[in-house]
Amino acid sequence: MKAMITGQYVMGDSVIHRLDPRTKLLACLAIIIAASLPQNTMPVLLLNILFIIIIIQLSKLGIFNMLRGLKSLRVLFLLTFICQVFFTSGEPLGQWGKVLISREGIELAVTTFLRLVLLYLGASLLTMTTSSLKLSAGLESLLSPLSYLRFPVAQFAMIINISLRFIPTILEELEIITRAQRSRGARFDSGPLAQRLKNTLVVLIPLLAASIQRANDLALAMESRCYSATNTNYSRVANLRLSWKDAAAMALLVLFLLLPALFLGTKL
Amino acid sequence: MPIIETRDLTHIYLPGTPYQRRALDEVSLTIEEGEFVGIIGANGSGKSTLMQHFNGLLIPSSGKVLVDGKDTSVKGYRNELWKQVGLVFQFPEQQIFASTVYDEVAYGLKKLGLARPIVKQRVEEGLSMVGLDSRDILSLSPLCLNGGTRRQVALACILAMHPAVLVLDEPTAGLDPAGCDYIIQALQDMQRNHKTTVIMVSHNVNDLILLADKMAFLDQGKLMVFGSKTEVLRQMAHRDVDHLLLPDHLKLMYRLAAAGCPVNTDIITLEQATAEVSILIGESAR
Repeated sequence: MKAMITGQYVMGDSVIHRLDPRTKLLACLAIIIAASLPQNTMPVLLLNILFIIIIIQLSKLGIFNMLRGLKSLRVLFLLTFICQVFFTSGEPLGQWGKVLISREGIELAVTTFLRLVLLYLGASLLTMTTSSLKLSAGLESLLSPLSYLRFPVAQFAMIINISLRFIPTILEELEIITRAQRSRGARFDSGPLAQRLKNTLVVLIPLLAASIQRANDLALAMESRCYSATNTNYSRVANLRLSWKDAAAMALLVLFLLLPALFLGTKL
Repeated sequence: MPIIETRDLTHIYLPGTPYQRRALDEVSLTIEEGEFVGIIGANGSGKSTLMQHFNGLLIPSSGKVLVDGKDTSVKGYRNELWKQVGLVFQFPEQQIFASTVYDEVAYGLKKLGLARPIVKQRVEEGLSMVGLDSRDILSLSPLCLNGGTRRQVALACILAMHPAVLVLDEPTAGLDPAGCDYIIQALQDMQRNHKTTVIMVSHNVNDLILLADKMAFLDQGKLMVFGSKTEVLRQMAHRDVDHLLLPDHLKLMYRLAAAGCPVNTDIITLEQATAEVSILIGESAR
């Protein structure tokens, strides 16, 4: 592997790693809710982020490692920040010509930034401490009630599992093909936009061809090992079990993520 | 005159992350113009990483790579390096994208800014160098060719560009003997008739033993030995690196020598080994 992917699974044996994937999926959902509730104000969001940072410490991933991943989202941060600052009306703080900066604008920009950071940390915490196999097992179990509605839960979980599994493979392939084409004179970082787009084609075509080929091979390999489209999934060794740790984690989650949103959000 | 030189070249993947790995560790070697150099090592020994340093695809974490005397860490130079150093990755047939063989081979030539008639001439020349007849296949889709032929086309793409240095990563992997022969022939032709410096990376000594002038042996990112074939082979036998597949006749020679038989281990070919053994048998019969 040549490049570290944001949110890539990091092997470990911490408390967080050992939690049931369902607990972590629900926790991630709770984080998404907390980050998107409109009544959550800056202090609540800060409290939530602090809570997540403590969990990150528990997971032994290293907070700096994770914050480094934020760099890859800097364009998004910058754009939302600028939009919020300049396009929110309210009590003016300063004005240059037609450009007006309001107090509400700055507040909104900062809270949006905090919400995005919260979302990023929550989602990476989930994917960095949970292997793709466990993730799809958890997803399957959480979605299993849907099977009464004839929703193909097992296949859906398998699709998720396979996609997650092949992200690093495809990225690696992308890198190799890009380098090979660069060695033949393709440039991806300079020249007019139309030319650059044309240059990406020389990477995308072989990449797509290889992916289709691989999908074909994989399907054949799965069929020859008797994978079938029934809802019974025989492909797992250990079934998921919730322990007292999961119960404790859930309780903490409610206490620190959801209750502040309900009670403090409007007051602070 | 050295065409490629590395000085204490170290490459670290993913520095500062949990996946940090030291792929190359202070590798220093000098490759002279016109030489055929074989780079040998097991999987994960750093050979592919080293190879990508030769045309500036990677930048050293520390140390230096000089190509033609110039430092590859200078961005302007690095970006032009593809014109001088042709790189053939493992399974190069997977990079094929064009709808005809002609377009595929012509891609790099057009990027070199050559005029149309010269491009056409070079395409034909490149294909004939790998043993393909351009009249038969120029207008075919590369997808309808078999694996071996596609490999030949992919190699022709680079050969047609007339690189001063040709670097190849396992060019014969997965080919049948006939396919291997075409590739080997083309490489020998490049070195002898076009004075190209050829650097070939492999984990299979058999591939390199007849072709290379010099060999380098990498183990876990460290350059264990770099020098003449016999020197490198002896070192490898000495270190007992079985997974690197020394040819059987050489293994026999080294074992005989280790058992105290008076044989010459400075040999390369099967014929030489046969001669040594018959001398030995002759002696014991007497």
